[in-house]
Parts: sequence; C-alpha cells; structure tokens
Amino acid sequence: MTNLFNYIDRPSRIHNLTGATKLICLLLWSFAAMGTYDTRFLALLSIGSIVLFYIGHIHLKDVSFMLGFTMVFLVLNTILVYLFSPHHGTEIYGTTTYLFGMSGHFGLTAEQLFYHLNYWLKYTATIPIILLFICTTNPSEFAASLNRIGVSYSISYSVSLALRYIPDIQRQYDEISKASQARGVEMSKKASIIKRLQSASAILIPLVLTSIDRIEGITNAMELRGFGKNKKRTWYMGKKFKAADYVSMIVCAGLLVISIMLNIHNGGRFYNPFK
Amino acid sequence: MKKFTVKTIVLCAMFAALCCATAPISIPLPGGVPITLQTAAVFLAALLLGPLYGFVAVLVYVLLGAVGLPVFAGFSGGIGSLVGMSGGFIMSWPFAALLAGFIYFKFGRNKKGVVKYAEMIVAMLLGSVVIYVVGLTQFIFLTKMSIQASLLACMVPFIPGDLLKMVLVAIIVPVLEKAMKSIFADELASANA
Repeated sequence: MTNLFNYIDRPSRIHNLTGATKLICLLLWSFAAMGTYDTRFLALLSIGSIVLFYIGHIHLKDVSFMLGFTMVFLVLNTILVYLFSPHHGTEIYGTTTYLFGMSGHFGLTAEQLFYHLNYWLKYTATIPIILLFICTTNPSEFAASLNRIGVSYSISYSVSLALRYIPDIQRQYDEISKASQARGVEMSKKASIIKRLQSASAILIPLVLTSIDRIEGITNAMELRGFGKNKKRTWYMGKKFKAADYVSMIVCAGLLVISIMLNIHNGGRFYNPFK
Repeated sequence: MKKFTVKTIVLCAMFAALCCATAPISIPLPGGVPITLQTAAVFLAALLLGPLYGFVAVLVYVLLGAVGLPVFAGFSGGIGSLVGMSGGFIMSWPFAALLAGFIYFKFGRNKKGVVKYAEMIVAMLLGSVVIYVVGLTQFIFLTKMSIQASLLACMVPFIPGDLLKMVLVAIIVPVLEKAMKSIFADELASANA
C-alpha cells in the first residue's frame, strides 16, 4: 500500500520554520481561501501556493498519489453540484448567459462555469499548502508544536503516536488482506455486497485486535521510561521561533484580513463580473 | 472523571491511527457512491471506547486530517480543510462519536442479543443525525444552495452506504468488545461512570 503521507527530509527554507508556525500559517491561509469567492484573490493565493511548493523542494512525484486521490473527489463533487443545482451560478450572480446553444434546466451557463472555476481555485489555493505542511514537518516536531500552542501534551502526544503508527497499521492491513485473500476471501467487484461486507469484517476484526494487542506493550514501554510523571515536558524536536517565523505568520494574517476586506468591498463573498 | 493515563493516551492514538488507515478504504457499490469505511471507523471507535475516549480518538483523527492527511473520503469529497464546503461533515465526527458512545454505553453495552444490536444501530443513527445536521448547515452556508439541492447532493446518495456501514460495525463490535474488556476493564469502567 502506498504511504498516504510522508515527511521528506530535503532541507529548505520551509523545513526550517517551526511546526507551530506552519500550522498557524496553514490555518490562516485556509480560512483566507475558504472565506471568499473573489476570483482575483483566489488566483493570487493559487500562484503563491505553487511558488511556496517550489521553495519547499517538493516534487510532483512525491505527492502524486495524494493529488490523484484529491482530484477524484473534486471531480465527483463538481458533477454532483452540477446535477443537483445546475443554475446555482445563475442564482448567485443574477444573470443567465447560456452557452453552446443550450437552455432549460440543465443548460450550461457562463455563471455556473464561473462558480465552478472559483470552487476549483479554492482547492488550487489550499492543496499545495497542505501538502507542503505534510512534507516539510517532522511528525515529532509537530507534536511539540501542538504543545507549544496550548494543546495539553497528552493530546499532542496522541497525535504524535497516531502519526507514528499509521504506517504500521497500513502494513498490517495489507498483510491481513493478502492472508485472507490467500485463503479465499473475495474483496473485488466479483463478489456480492453482502460477501464484501463479510470480507471487510474478516479484515477489520484482526486489524483492530492486533492494534489492541500492541497497546499493552507500548504503554509499558512508555511508563518504564517515565512518561506522564510530570505536568510539563521538554521536547527534543522542538524549535525556537526566528524572524522568518514571525514574518510568515504576519503575512498570512494579512492575507486573512485582505480576504475579509474583500468580502466587505464585494458586498458579500462573491466577486461578480456579470453586473 | 479520571484523568488520562498513559494507556488511555496510547489507546486513543491507536484508534485514531486505525481511523486514518481504514477510512480511505472503499467498497464499490453497483451504480452508486462507493462505501468508504470512514464513518464506520468513527462509530467503531465510539462504540468500543465510549464517549470520552471515543471523542478524543476521533478528535485526534480529525486533527490529523485538518492538517491535510488524505484520511477523509466520501460525502461530497471534501478533503483537508475543515472550513471547506464539506468540512461540517468532518468537524461533527468527534461529537457524533461522543453522542453514539454515550447512548451505547448507557443503554446498550451490557445488554444481550437483539436489544444490544438495536441499541448499537440507534446510537449510530443518532450520531449520523449529528453529522448530517452540522455538515448540511455548513454546506448550505458556504454554497448558498437551497436546502433541497443540498440534501440531494450531500445526503441522499450516501444513505444506503451509511446503513450498510452501520450493519458492518454492529457485526464486529461484539467480537472486539470481548478483547477490549479483558485489556481495558478498569479504564472503560471508569469511562462508564
């Protein structure tokens, strides 16, 4: 099974920022992108996303699986919105401009296309930043960052542990799935739905059981090493804030402010070129 | 309420990792939206761990997804950002787990036979109500689509898959509960209090 994510140890200026900075910037950037439908602002964020992606030394092949996965659901969502609300764009922008000689309920309009353009721009503005965060942040340092921004270290350590064990569970799933199929369990489209549900339970039960089985060992190992004895702890992977961190956070906060101001200026979240 | 022990921290982390690893798995349906194991994993955590630890496990899972891990699937296909059109469906999961876990642990966990299964289904149905209400509210707010169109786009296509997932979870929870009780008798007993 392809790993769904991985930290790429290929140092860059993005890698040098603290995880807390990148988390805060990710949230500010996402709120800025998702809070408005102003095409000009979204296009600016999209370009910024791609530039930062390049600065982070991420290659497309590093993240092609995740991008493909995202693309499938983007297309599915686009189709669903069009099927169930084909004149959504018309309602928003107030005019109707049919294209290609079409008309009626499913007639394609310029307004609908413009709406979908904005929708896709939201994702091109945010997905590269998200991938950048994943690939340039060490999971251990991420847990330290969560603790720094106020999350109790029990919770932030749960995040770190979960990150650590996702690949193990994926590997276990793969092994259990292959072992089941070697004994005749059918998971493909050839089997009926009921049989596939039975197959899914035949894999999920041993998967959960092996995970539960490990908990005792992990717990004992942690306690023997003194985990949880104090209210606070230091972080080996923690980093200190530098000038670049403060500048990054200020810039992203500025983007959010601009996003809010554009909503006020446009009289709503939508920038309307059809008026 | 007892504070978190090391064992419960590891427990929540392991179930969060289980949610991350199993959610992207999907079972194709003929002519319909694929069933993903996403909400199945959420309800599994809720019914096995109870309201408190289930809530935390799913919260960790959502937090990991919030920073972009592609561990969400299904619904309207939103991924990553919780502030997107389908973010409400995801942000509601910790609370759906809280509600489902509470109902099951209070009314159904110590029952036998048909009553136990009925309580599991009821708990998951109520949890699903939380998910759809929050999810649709955010979807409608952000897209300004009508309620009817939003229901058709976000809810109707996914109902058959959701029901099948509940059946799947109901099948495997009793088996796993035996293992859970032998390992975590103390913690889950205190969670039940």
